[in-house]
Amino acid sequence: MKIRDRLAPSRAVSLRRGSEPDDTALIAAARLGDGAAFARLFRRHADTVRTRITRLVGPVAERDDLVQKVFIAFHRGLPAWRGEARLSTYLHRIAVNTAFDHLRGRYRSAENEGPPDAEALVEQLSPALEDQVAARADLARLLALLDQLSPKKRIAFVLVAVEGCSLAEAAALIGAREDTVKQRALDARRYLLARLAAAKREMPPAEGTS
Amino acid sequence: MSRRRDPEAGAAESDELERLCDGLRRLEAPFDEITRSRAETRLGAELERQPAWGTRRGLGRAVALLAVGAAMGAVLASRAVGTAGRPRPAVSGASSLRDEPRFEPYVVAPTTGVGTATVPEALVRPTSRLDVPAGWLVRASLGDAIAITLKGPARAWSEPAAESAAGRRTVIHLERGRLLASLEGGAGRRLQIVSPGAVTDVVGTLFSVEVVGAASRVAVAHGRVQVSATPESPGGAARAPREVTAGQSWLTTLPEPDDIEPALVDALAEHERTPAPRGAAVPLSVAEAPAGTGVWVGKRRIASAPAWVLVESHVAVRLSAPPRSAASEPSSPPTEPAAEPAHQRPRPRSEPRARATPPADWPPPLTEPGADPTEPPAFAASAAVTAQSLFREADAARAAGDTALALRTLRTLIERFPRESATAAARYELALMEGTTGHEDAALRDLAAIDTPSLEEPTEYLRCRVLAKRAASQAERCLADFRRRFPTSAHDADALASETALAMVRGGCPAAQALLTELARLHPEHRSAARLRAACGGRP
Repeated sequence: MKIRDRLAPSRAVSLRRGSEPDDTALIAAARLGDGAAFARLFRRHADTVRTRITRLVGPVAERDDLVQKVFIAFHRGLPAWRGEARLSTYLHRIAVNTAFDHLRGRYRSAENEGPPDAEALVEQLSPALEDQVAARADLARLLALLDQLSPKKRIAFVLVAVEGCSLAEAAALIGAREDTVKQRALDARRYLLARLAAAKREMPPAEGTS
Repeated sequence: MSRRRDPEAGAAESDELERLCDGLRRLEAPFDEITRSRAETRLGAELERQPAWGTRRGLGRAVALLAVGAAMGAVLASRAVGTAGRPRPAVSGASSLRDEPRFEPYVVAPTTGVGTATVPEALVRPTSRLDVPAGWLVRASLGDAIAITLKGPARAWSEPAAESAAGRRTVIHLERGRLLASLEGGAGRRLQIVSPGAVTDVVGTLFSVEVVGAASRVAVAHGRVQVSATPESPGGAARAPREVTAGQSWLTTLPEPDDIEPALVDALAEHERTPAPRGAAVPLSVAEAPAGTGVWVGKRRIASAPAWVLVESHVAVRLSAPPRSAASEPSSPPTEPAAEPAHQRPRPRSEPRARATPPADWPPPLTEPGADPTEPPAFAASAAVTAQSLFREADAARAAGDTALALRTLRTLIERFPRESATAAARYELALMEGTTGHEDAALRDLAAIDTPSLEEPTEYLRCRVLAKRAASQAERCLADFRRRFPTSAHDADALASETALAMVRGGCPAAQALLTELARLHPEHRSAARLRAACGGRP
């Protein structure tokens, strides 16, 4: 970032000291080549993007690379930025696309890689995350189930059932029709419920219940 | 939708799915200081590799070159070195974004070292076809993961990469000469070399292919490759593919491989030690310096003048005076300066140090007074060096397995930028490396100097791990204390298992019993739990 800071110092938008500029001001500065402004945007939104990426694809090793891809795509899109959406929404949309590309690649090569070691991945989660996840086994279990879904269904399900997006919001993020998103999310839900029911049938009865 | 009961599923499953989703909903995964530093430095580097957009393209290039030029002003004489050559902005490695891979030269130098006039311009340009004349050596990258060295006379060309479900396959055709190549292994990365009489398939390794008449010789330094002798190979029809492994060299007309020749091992090692620049890079032409003048990037001599090199914009480049013999004896036997490992250069201490006497119009000395010009010049501070750039350098050095360089770079960062946000992360990384290389005291000192609250938990856990190498009782107390202070740590299972093992060593199974019970209750699936239980007679 620091090297880039020097690229166009004379054209950088001056940001008042002591005040925290909003996204619009930072984007305007970044569009003029102010690397420091872009770095501030990164620091401001990186955690949210990382969290969303993690929910979509799981705590995979490539997750920070995906965050980087999101911000590179954002940087590429700066010249065309018209401010029609909030930056957080715009980044969310890029994150969804990036996650989809990643999941599609993983889904295609799933036969070669074998099942992901969700338990091991959860071990990598940060302490801050641990504070908020009561049962890591549950999280690992859900991630393993989500890994069995196709990327399209997985993303639709996570956006609607986990992120709490409305169908219209999810459709806008994905770039698909509402009824398509609804169908994908429902398919995913049915599949997950079936897997949970099957797992319950396969479990040995608990002691004292026979 | 998420809370609605599905009529086809039981209520219990719906509730369970909702509970599981709730866990994921409450998941927050912010960066910690270390990963944030890494992410920010990598993003900065990556953005510099992206073509600038719109009207900034020209400005960006000009300013970047000016910045690098200014940085180099302290160490390079403008008459000897200039930014020159390729008509492109300070961008390297962009070929990975294109469909058609092109060789992007990053070192072009004579193999004879002396007596050569200028660098042929054709060798400098990115191209899909490299034709290297006799007497020249070209190192070039092909995408992000492939680096090749061609020593003339040699000719190779690349064909458009083939994408498939299995990944991306890059194909290089070698028509003549010897090609040294390295491929960084990675999911979906494959390289194929097509040469007379052979097709060599590579997944990740360091190897060479040499055209020998109508056949090919394939030699491997690391990893393994699969070679298929093709029908036009002398000897007739195609044979079953053969695997050539590390240390082997196989001529496709022979039934069995031989041992790889030592000279080729050296050349491959030198190829590996001279990787393509990553991030923003600037072309430099070392054209007017006397033949044989060494071109150093950091601690590595990468070429001898006259040369053209592509170097990372944040590193310092220096020249070293040519050996006296090279300057006065242009017809001396050919050497391969770029392929001459610094540590192998003979330099008897008793000999007077070679010091070039520059002509009157030659720029000021490039080495410090009293310094040995045959040694790599000391690290030069340039205006481009920042805490982030040093962190990135250390990261790259560590990834490349150069622990010593990574340690030095991190220490430099801490000394020069004691109050930067990256410094605490650098101290942690430094301690991590020191702890694994037997420097526990230094690791503990560095850990004690970290006062960033967000690093408190990983720092404390690392301190316990370092202590475990030298003082079991202190480590045991440290781990117990760690688990009390950070009960929800991601390291809890490992900490408990380690504490259990240490207690077992101290007082046998009775001393560890309570911890064993706790481990079985809290982390029954931990990889060491079964082994520890079995050691105390429990069910594994």
